[in-house]
Formats: sequence, C-alpha cells, structure tokens
Amino acid sequence: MRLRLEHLLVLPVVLTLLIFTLYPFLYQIYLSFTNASIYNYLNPPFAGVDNYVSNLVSESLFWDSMRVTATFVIIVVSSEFLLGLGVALLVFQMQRTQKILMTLFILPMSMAPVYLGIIGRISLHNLVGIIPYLERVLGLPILSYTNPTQALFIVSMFDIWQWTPFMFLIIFSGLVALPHEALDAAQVDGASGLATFRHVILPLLRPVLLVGLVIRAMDAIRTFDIPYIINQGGPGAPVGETTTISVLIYKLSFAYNRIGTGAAAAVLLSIVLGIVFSRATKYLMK
Amino acid sequence: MTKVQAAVIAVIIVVAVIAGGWYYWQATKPPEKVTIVMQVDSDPEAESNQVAVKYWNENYAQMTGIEVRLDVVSFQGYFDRLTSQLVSDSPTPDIVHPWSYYVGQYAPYCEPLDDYFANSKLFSSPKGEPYNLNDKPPAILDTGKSGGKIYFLSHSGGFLALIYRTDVISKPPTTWEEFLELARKNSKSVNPDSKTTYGAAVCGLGPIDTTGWKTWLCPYWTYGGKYFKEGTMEPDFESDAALKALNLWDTLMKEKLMPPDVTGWAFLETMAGMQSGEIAMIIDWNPVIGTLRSSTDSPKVYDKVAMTLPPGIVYTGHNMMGIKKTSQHKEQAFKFLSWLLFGEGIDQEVPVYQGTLSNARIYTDPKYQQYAWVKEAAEMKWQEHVRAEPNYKEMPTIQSIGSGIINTLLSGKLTPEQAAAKLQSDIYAELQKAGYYG
Amino acid sequence: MDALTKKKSVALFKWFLVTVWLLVVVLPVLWVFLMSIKTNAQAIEIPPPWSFEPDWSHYIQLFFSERFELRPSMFNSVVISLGSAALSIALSFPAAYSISRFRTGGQNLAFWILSFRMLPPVLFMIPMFTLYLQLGLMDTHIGLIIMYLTFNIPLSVWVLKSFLDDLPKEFEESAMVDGCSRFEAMFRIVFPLCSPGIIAVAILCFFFSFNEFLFAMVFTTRQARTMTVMASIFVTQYTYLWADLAASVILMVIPMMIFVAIIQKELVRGLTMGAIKG
Repeated sequence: MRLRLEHLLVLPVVLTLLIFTLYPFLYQIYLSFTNASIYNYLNPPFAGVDNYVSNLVSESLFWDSMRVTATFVIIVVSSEFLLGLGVALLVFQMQRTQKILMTLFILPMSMAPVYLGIIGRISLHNLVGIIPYLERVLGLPILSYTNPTQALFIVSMFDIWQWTPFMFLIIFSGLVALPHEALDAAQVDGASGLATFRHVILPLLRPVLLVGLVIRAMDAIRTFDIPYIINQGGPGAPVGETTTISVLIYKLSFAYNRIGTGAAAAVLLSIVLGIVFSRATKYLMK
Repeated sequence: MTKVQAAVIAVIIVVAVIAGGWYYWQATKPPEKVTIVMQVDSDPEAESNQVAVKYWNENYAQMTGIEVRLDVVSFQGYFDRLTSQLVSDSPTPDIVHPWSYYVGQYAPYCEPLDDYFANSKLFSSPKGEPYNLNDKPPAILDTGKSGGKIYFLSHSGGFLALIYRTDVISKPPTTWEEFLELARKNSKSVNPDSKTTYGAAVCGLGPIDTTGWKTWLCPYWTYGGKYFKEGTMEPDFESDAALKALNLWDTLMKEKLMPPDVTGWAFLETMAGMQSGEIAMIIDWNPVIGTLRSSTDSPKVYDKVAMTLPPGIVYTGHNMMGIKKTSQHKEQAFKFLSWLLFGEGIDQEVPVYQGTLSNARIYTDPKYQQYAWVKEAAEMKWQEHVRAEPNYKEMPTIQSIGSGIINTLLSGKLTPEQAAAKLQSDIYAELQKAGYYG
Repeated sequence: MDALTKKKSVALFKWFLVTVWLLVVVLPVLWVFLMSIKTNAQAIEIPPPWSFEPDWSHYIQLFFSERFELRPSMFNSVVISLGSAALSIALSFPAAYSISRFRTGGQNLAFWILSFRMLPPVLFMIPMFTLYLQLGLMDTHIGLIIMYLTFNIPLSVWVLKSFLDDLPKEFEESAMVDGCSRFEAMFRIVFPLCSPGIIAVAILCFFFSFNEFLFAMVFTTRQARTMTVMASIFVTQYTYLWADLAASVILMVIPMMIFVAIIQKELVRGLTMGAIKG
C-alpha cells in the first residue's frame, strides 16, 4: 500500500502514542496475571486468573466500584452538560461582556484538582471548616464527606464546579464557530429563540456537543484526585462510597499491595470502556 | 661501576622517585568530590535535617569530598515517588527515608549495613573518631532489621501521645476505662454542661492512611492483645482483647463522644480539631504538641494543652534512613549517614527538632536539658512504655487492612463482632497468600 | 405585558442567571485568595475573622524563598504546558484533518486514539518510571511534555475533528481548484477557520498540563520541577501551611488566566471570521 498523504498526516500521532503507552499497557496486562507486590515487583509469582476472579466474583471489587463510578459519572456529566450548555448560550448572547465573562468562567479549571481537594477537605472539616460554619449560620443541613449518603454528593459537587467550564468552553467555541448566515437567516424569519435553538443551532452543534460529552465522560470515569484526597475513597473500605475505579486501582496497588489485582481491575476497565466507547465512536463517526 | 650498572641504578632511582611522588600525591590530594542525594519528605525532620546537612557541607565537604544534597519533597505523593524510585534501578536518591513499618517491604531494595558498621574507616567521624553503635539502643536498632540484618537506621521515633485540655481535665486517664469516663464527662451529648463539645477524637481515616489502625492498637495491646498467636504466625484477632478494644471505639462513636467526621480524619485533621477548642482529648503523634503549644498557630488552646502517654502500651513508629542498593556512592553515603545519626549531626539537630530523636545519649547529656522537648521526653520515659511492631514484609498491607476495617467500624457499617471476624479472616488471607502457612 | 417589557425582563433574567453562576464560580477562588493573606492559623479559624490585617508575607516569601524556587518552577510549568499544548495541536491537527476528510483508518484508528484517554494514569507510573530512566527522560522538560501528550492528543484530535466536520469541504476544494496543494489548503485556509476549536483545545491542554500533579511529582527532581509540585511543599506530614498553600495556588492561577486572556482574543476574532464565511 502506497504511503498516501493521509497516512503521513496521522503518523506522528500514532507513533507518539504507540511508543510511550504501549509498553506500560502491556506490562499491566502481564502484571494482572501475577501476585505482584512492591517487594517482589521485579519477579512476581504467577497467579493465573485469580485476580480476575477476586475482582469479578469472590470479592466483587470491580462491580462495586463500577457502580460507584457509574453513579458518579451519570450525575456529574449530565449536570455539567446542562449547565455548560446553558451558560454557553447565555454568554454567547452577551456580546459586550463576552471576553471578560469567558475568562472568568474558566477560573475553576485553573485550580489544580489536587489542591482543590486539599483545601476543600479542610473547608469541610466539622470544627474548623468554612462550609459547615456557613451551613450552621444559614440553618442548612451539615454535609459531611464521612456520611455514606452524602459523600458521593459532595465529591460530585466539587467535580461539577471544576469541570462545567470544560463543557462551557467546548460548547462556547462551537457556538462561535457557527456560520453567521444560518443564525441571521433565522432571526430575519422572525423565529423565536427556542425554535432557533432547536432547529438551527442544535443540529449544527451536534458534533461538538457529542465530542464534549464523550470526552468528559471518559475523564469522569478516570476521576482520581478529588475522591482520593477528600476521603481516600471512603467511608468504608476497600470499596467505599466514593471509591471510583481509579481510586480502587490505586488502593489495591499501593495500600493493599495487591498490584496484580489492581492491574486486573485496570484491564477489566479497559475492556468495559472499549465496548462502551467503540459504540460511541461508531455513532460519532457517522 | 660499568655503564650498565650505573644505568640500572639510575633507572631504579628515577622509578623510585616517580613512584614515591605519585603515592605522596595520591595520599594528600583532596578526595574526588562526590555528591550524594538524600531524599526526605516535608516534615519537622526535614527542617532539622537541613540544618545538619548545611553544617556538613560547610565543614566537611572539602575534607571528605562528600557533598550532600537534601531533596525535600512533598508528603503528598511521597510514597508513590519513593516506591517508583526503589523498584526501578534509579541511582538516586542514595539515602532513602521511609517509616519503620515499611522496612520489611523496602529491604530488598536497600543495602545491608552490618558490614559497614564493622568498617572503622566508614563508621567514624571525618576526623577519625569512632562512633558508638549502642547510642541507638538494641530495641531501636531492631526496628530497622529485616531477616536478621540491619537495613535501616532510626533517626527519630514518634509515639502516639494523649494530648488533653488542662482546663477541663486535671488528671489524665491511666486506664482506658478512665479514658471513656473522661470522654463522657466532656461531651455535650452526655453531659450538657461540658465545656467542650466532644470528649475525645482519634484518627479514623483508612486504608491508605494507617494512623487509625495504630491508634487502635494502643487499647488492643493494653488489653493483652497481640498480632499473632503464641509461637505462630496465625493472627489472634478473635480474642477478648480485640472485642474489648473494638467495643471501646464503637462506644465512643455511638455515644457521640467523638466528632462524626473522625472517619475522615488523619492526624492533621485531628490536630486541627484540637486547635478549634471543641475537643477535650486527642490521640495523635507527639510532634504535633509543638504546633498546639504555639500561640501563633493555635491561639485558642496554646496555653491549655498538655501531653502525656495514653494508658497502657503505646504505639511507636520511627523515621528510618537507609541506603539504596543501586546507589553509586554507597560508602560515601554511609559515611555521611553515620555522621548524621551517630555523630555531630545529632548534636546539630537537637536544638531544632522538637520531636524525639532516638539516640540515648541526648536524654542523659546535661547540656541538652535546657531544651523543653528533650526534658519532657526524658521525664516521660516513653521508651519504656512503647511497643514496636515486627518488621514483616506484609506489615504495610496488614496495617492498611486494619485501618480500612477500623474505618468501616467507625462508619457504623460493621459491628465490633463483625470487625473482629473480618480482621481475623482478612489478615489470615493476606498471610496465606504470602505463603506463611505452607 | 408588551413586547419591550417582556424582552427587558427576559434579558434581566438572563443577567440574573449569569450573575448567579458567576458568583458560584468566583467565590471559592476569592475565598482561597483571602486565605492567602491571612496568617496560617487565621486561615482555618472559625468563625472566620471578618476584619484582619492582610498579611502579604506569604507572597513575599514565595517570591524570595530559596526553598520554593518560584521563578524556575513557574518557568518550568509554563514551558512544559505551552510545549505540550503546542506540540499536541501541531501533531493532532493534521491527524484530525485526515480523519475528518478521508476517514483514515476508519473507526478503528479514531477509537484507538481516543482509548488512550481512558486509562487511569496511576497504572502507568512504575513502568513509565523505568522506561524514562532508560531513555534518559527523567527530570526533563521534554519528558513531561511527551507524557502529557498521551492525554492531550486524544482530546485534541477528537475536538478538532468535530470542528472540522462542521466546516464544509468547499473551502479547501475551491482553493485547490485555484492551484493550492492540499497541504497549503490545510494550513492556510482550514487552520485559521478552525481557530475557535484550536483555542479551546489549547486552553484545555495548557490547563491540564499545568495542573497535573502525580506524574510531575514522581518524574521531576530539580531541573523540571513544576509549580504544582513546588506548592506541595506546604503539605507536610504534621501540618499544612494553609496560607502559604493558598498563596501558591493563587500564583498558579495567575499564569493560566493570563494565558486565557491573551489567547481568547483569537476566539473573539473568530466571530468576525464567521462573517467572512458567508
């Protein structure tokens, strides 16, 4: 097959990704069939499919954590999508203040997740935290990240605060890139805002919206910093109320020293994500 | 004399002069400069280490050719970094710093030091004065042993202290029953007239954080509990001691004697809780008393806190230092390390470090009595009340399992009976996987 | 209600919504800023002191402290983030163009590229550490730039592809009819028309690279230490220096906001570009 232009165009990307991620990924697959720990990392004893069994069946680690992750992803992605879309539409209509608004709305993303977690954690401290203090003053119920029903909610709130700007940015750029004549034509025709939105904007924006959703969903599945720092995935162990799959893998590898089990969970995750997102890709490539 | 004889003599003289000159030059030239890297995490020990390292670099770097670079890295992500460095063949850092319960796990990647102690050229000061190995008592040296060999040396030991409010508690508890009574007396949930909202607080975070487990070990050991059944490696957690200790923790939570948040508290948040003034007693690592006594850091409680030992047997953990196997300057690293831990390094750190250095001589040396923390540690005789854990490779894992279960108990998801059973079965399973039961 | 009043009240309502969200967005950051000008003890004092003397010493310390190394770490963060964002766009734009116009590699390639963003980073740590040691990339700028590329490229390729999908092929085709090569058309015509997408991708890649902690922590020591890692010095075992930590967080927010302010001029210019499309 001759090397056409199109192949040349994608070659750099393929090479970069291949060289730097293939080896670690294959190594993980190898580890998932061993009983590796930190002290025998270089010569781990072989363990067959034990790790997969404990992940899926005997300890149900993978399923419990996926349940937490799925709940989390559904809550945050849908909220961020709706909020991001709403804010993008609003800002798009405000011609004069667009620049300053756009810059300000990106602010949450500029806080490093790890420090958002650390500062958020002390702000939720029952005795010295600002948030419980305000809750007491305003008569609101006091939320705690150690409460099983509230923990995931709190982690979700942090995520929504931080990543709605992600959806906002992508959707807003999509709006800016829309051809003007379609919008102008609709206005000349006297169409109401809602109709314009549904019949003109939405179809044109579809590819961008879908990509935003897919990428945010993937990132949400991989969420690690906030649940890890706020409560180490608790309350409860090994799979607590906020143990997303990344947190589970970390806990298994570095706390419980079951690196093989952690690697198996990662491989299982890749399989699940592979199935889910290859369907999504098909849809997006239409 | 023939010409040949004269020539031979001349050659011999020339060779002798050259050889003599060369040997002389080798013996007196300053040693090649080597930089060794010591990596520590950001904590009070790092502050005092910096003082010692600076002193060495200013006074001995030239003389010995060993320059020391201290890398202070954050505590956040520290063990991720350290693990990666140890497991790979990274030549740096030369001197690594884990905690004592990691000794068994990291020993395979570090250098056994027994032969270095026997080497009088290395185990002596830059001026040649030999050090005294017994300055670190045998029990302290044991904390760094794995498989009978010394891999790590203790820099300082910390223990879990009982820190209490002197304005509400005049006599600290001497038994755990008294602890519970004092907690009840000082909790608004039981005694509405109490000055503090909560009588007690302990760390409950887990499983990655392990202080929750260590705190629980104090009542467990005091009630007679042990890790393993006598003479075996079988865990011994389905015992009366375990049930008593678990019930104590459960009672503290159920009667609301502790803040509901403690399941999310590591030792930092526990200290912050004390700083708020709402708690009467906490169990936390002894160095936090420094922050709690400072008027700038703890304006609400600095003049009302005191430290003592918890009732019975107390947990101790040490800050360890070892030499990486793949280091390229092992002997130089040892030379510096022995100075730091046995020689002048310790003397440089005493004025600055408010924790408990593990050298015996500083507690008996009169010139150090002027420092309040040294005097207090000497008076408390903490070394007589503490128990250190054995150094199995699986120790970090067992601690994570334990703190995870304590966390789950405190969250109300397990009853004490269930927690005891789970401790037994999970730790047994872990040791079985490690091959202890044949 | 007549049409004008209705229009005004709708506009007012929209402003109200924007203001609410603006407050939600800005207040926490403002709180962090307030933390940074208190003392360490005041920062977590409850009830919070409403009037206090601003203590700028934390910022001053950060600028002059030997331990914190502000200038080198800020330099490293900016270089690494800019490098990763620029390289990501440079590599991804051609790939996105190819996938969008020619469907190169079909679904499989597109999905394969996307899949790299699915893998939890914690997996990679130890194998990557060994790999980097052997390749001599440990503690280098280029090492981190490449590391971040593995996450930035999937994002860039897919977002740019979606913007390209929206762009009718007529533009470059008419240019090629006029004698441009495909290559020229791609860079001269299509690339500028994609500027909103490119800006969005640049901002996201820059932010992600700047704020990344775990890998920066494990893979850098002296040369390439970023601000994100530097700020963690204040996270000690026994106490967190809250005011210093807050100050360093604010100091990290500033370069990122400057970057957005500079680059978003291009985004707004895109508005007028849209008119040219017509």
